[in-house]
Amino acid sequence: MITFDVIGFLLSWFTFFSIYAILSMSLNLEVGYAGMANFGKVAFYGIGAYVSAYVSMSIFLSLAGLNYPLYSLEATMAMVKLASQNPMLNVSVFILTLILAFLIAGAIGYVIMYPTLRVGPAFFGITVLSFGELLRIFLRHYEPTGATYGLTGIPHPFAWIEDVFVKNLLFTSVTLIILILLFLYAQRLVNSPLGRTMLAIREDEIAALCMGKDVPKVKGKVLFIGSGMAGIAGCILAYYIGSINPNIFVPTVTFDVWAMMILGGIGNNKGAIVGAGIITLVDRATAAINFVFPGLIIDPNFIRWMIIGLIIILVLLFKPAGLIPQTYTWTPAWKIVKPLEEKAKRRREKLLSPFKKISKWFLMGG
Amino acid sequence: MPTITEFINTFWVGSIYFLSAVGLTISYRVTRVLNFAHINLMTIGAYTAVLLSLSSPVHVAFAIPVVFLVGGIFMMAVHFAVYSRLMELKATPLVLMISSMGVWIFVKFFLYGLLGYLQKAWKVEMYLAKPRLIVGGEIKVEGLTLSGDLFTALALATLAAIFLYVFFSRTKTGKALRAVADNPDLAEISGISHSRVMYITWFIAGGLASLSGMMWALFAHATPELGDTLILQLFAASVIGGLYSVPLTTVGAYTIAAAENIVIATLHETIGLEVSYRPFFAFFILLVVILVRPPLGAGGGLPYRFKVLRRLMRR
Amino acid sequence: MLKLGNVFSGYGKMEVLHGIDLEVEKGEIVSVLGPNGAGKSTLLNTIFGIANILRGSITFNGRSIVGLKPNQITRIGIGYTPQISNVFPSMTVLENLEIGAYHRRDDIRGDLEEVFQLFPEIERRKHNLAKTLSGGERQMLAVARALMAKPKLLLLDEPTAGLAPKAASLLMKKILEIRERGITVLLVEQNVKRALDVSDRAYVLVGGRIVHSGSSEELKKEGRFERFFFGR
Ligand SMILES: Nc1ncnc2c1ncn2[C@@H]1O[C@H](COP(=O)(O)OP(=O)(O)OP(=O)(O)O)[C@@H](O)[C@H]1O
Ligand SMILES: [Mg+2]
Repeated sequence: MITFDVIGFLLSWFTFFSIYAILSMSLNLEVGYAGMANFGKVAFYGIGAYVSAYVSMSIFLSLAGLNYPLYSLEATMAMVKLASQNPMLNVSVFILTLILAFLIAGAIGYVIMYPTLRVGPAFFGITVLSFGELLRIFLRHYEPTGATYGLTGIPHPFAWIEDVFVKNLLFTSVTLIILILLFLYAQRLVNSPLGRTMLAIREDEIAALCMGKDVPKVKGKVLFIGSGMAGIAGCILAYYIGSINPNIFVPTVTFDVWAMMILGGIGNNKGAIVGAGIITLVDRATAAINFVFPGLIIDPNFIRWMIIGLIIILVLLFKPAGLIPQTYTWTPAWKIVKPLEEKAKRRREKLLSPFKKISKWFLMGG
Repeated sequence: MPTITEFINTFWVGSIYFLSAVGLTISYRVTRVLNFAHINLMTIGAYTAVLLSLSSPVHVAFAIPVVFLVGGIFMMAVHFAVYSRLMELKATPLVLMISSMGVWIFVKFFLYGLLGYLQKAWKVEMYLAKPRLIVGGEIKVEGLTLSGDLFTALALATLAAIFLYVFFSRTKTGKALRAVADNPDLAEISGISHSRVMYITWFIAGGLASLSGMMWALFAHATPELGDTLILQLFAASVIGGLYSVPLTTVGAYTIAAAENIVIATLHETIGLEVSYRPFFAFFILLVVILVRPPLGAGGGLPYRFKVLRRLMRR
Repeated sequence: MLKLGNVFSGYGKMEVLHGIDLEVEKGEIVSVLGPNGAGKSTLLNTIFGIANILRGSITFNGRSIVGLKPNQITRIGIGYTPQISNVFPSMTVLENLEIGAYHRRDDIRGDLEEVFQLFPEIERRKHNLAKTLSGGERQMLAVARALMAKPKLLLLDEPTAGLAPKAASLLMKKILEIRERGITVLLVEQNVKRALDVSDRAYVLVGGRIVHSGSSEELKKEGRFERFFFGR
């Protein structure tokens, strides 16, 4: 009899939810607000993961005076011992790699802006998609990061806690806190002048240029922030699963993120998070089904992916705005005008209501 | 020095790339959908040939029309189910592109599931298969075997090129396709049924791509990832053609094939470059093309100038 | 021939035309006049099934054409030259004309001759791409393209826009010639005088409503509304 671990399920769901919510929020900044169809999200996710894994393992091993190659079995074995020795080191390396993942992934995103600036969304999509695929191929052949086998033994920031449950709970809470902080940041960003410029670019690039906006710079900034956020998600993933390899970062991951964003509603941070919640839940559920009923004739994994494809198509066909449609931006002017307008509307309705009643009465009579 | 094999492979692989990339180009040009489901088509073509020849080998002349039809009908079905509806809703090219991505994922994993099922039910290896087609015309010259597969690929590419040229420049339907590509509203006003043109375009693009998949399966073998492994090459070839021009797409396809065979063999010998870095060439060519000769017309880019580049050039 | 009864139409939810009644008899040239944004192009788009028709009836030779697709409307004998993007820029002039005759099964060589006779200016450039033509040549090509379909009724949306006065009056003469070939014309124009000179009757469209209609002679004599709507 297999017992189903509810709390473990919830913890793993929340962690994956945070990771994917960060990804879909970052994609939403690029696509929903700035209109740049990023089909290569997975590249920056992968960069974040690899940077964190590489840096953290190098720091641990060199502090211990060992110089095994990172991908070797000895390194993995050594990491298991090293990881639970110094809590301060674990946590500070975690924070350091979070920042590094953000900066490096962001910088690469910024650089990608250059070749793709002058071409339309179709070409941008192709180029970034190819970039992601290429990065994966590169990693598969790159010895220092373990080629196909990747890196194993990434030091969990709370590896020094004995109790597995407390350890996971702590980690999940930290990821949720990171998600909340990034959400608040994204909310502020899209309601700032930069956010409005992004919307202007999405609607009409030429018009935005004519308004004197430096479109390339804004696009670069958006890609920097979006890719950096994806890098953070990758960093969390690396620490959470403890071992990474190139095959985690296949293009289909990008489409997962797209499905989340489309389902939640393009151009809406809350929507991105809701979409991530729903799809990661389905995801975890299929993983659980796989675990509970092994040996199904059709791999539930395939069905799960088919559902992702279907979600993208069906939402676009029947509910293009997504679950939570985009709303107006809270500009300072809106904040003043909106209450006044609502007040006027209420007054108007109050004035009109007797007439409405009378007309209704007449209509009912007639 | 690259050997004669590399030159032969250049033409062989180039023809396969051409068959597929040209479909991508014309379908984008006429329908404005950047069709990621194009990638499925190659896999579908390869497995149609595999399934056809499962019990006994069949002649390639029989397989070609069947594979073409299957690919064409598949793409028409996708248009019917998804794109036509989105076009009715006046969806933007971005939305169409995203929807094609959804189709791609759906079909890809549907094929995975189906093949896995067949593998279990029929007890035949499906995830790594090879169509058993009878292809005659093998030639042996000075110890070199030129297989019939190679000639079939070359012949198909040549025929496709001639067909497309005649179709677009001489026939009424071909001109109608070009008219829709040029100005869809006016084409409709001139009495051309938009939806009919869409179906014709998808049929041709789908058929060519699935033929290309079949030829690739003969060159290498059929896997469910067949199309996915060739994304870079296809898109790079199409981008060289600006997603617009058929002749330039041809140039693109053969250029990439040459880079992947001749250039890499040379570099392998001279500087010891790993042969597995092959896809980097396609990406490199793609980057160079969009930097040096960005296809501004298609896809709505703006001709920005780079301050950094300009400053460097002034020096 | 063409009859619009109380037509309301627009784009999406926006209503642009508010109850249009209009009639075109066989062999006439009827012009529709009005300021910018009055809804003249929308009127033609409505007839052609491009704008949304919300209410009302449109009949052509007694047959209702509401709900038909533009390509079907072309097939039953109405030609349309839109106001903007009215040629296929990357096709040659000859190909443009062939596309104009797309739905016809018969030989089009005779008609090509005829069209070239009518517009000798474009015959010289028949192998050039349409995007290399000048504005005036492009307008002629646009009209010629519509003629190639052998329509019974031709809708022209500001064919003289952007033409020099001389070229414009030349084109107007050609419209008279077109009528002599037995084609009815519904003409949208900005230049009141020019339009009234060629047309038999005229409608004045302002703000999506027909505010005035009558024979061209009458309207010309009146001369009052011209000042009123067009500031002349
Ligand atoms: N495609 C469209 N979608 C939405 N609204 C439109 C569209 N085309 C025109 N309109 C609106 O319909 C109204 C009438 O436009 P229309 O083009 O019919 O004017 P017009 O009389 O032809 O003007 P002009 O003389 O400048 O050509 C305008 O207010 C315009 O804003
Ligand atoms: Mg107009």
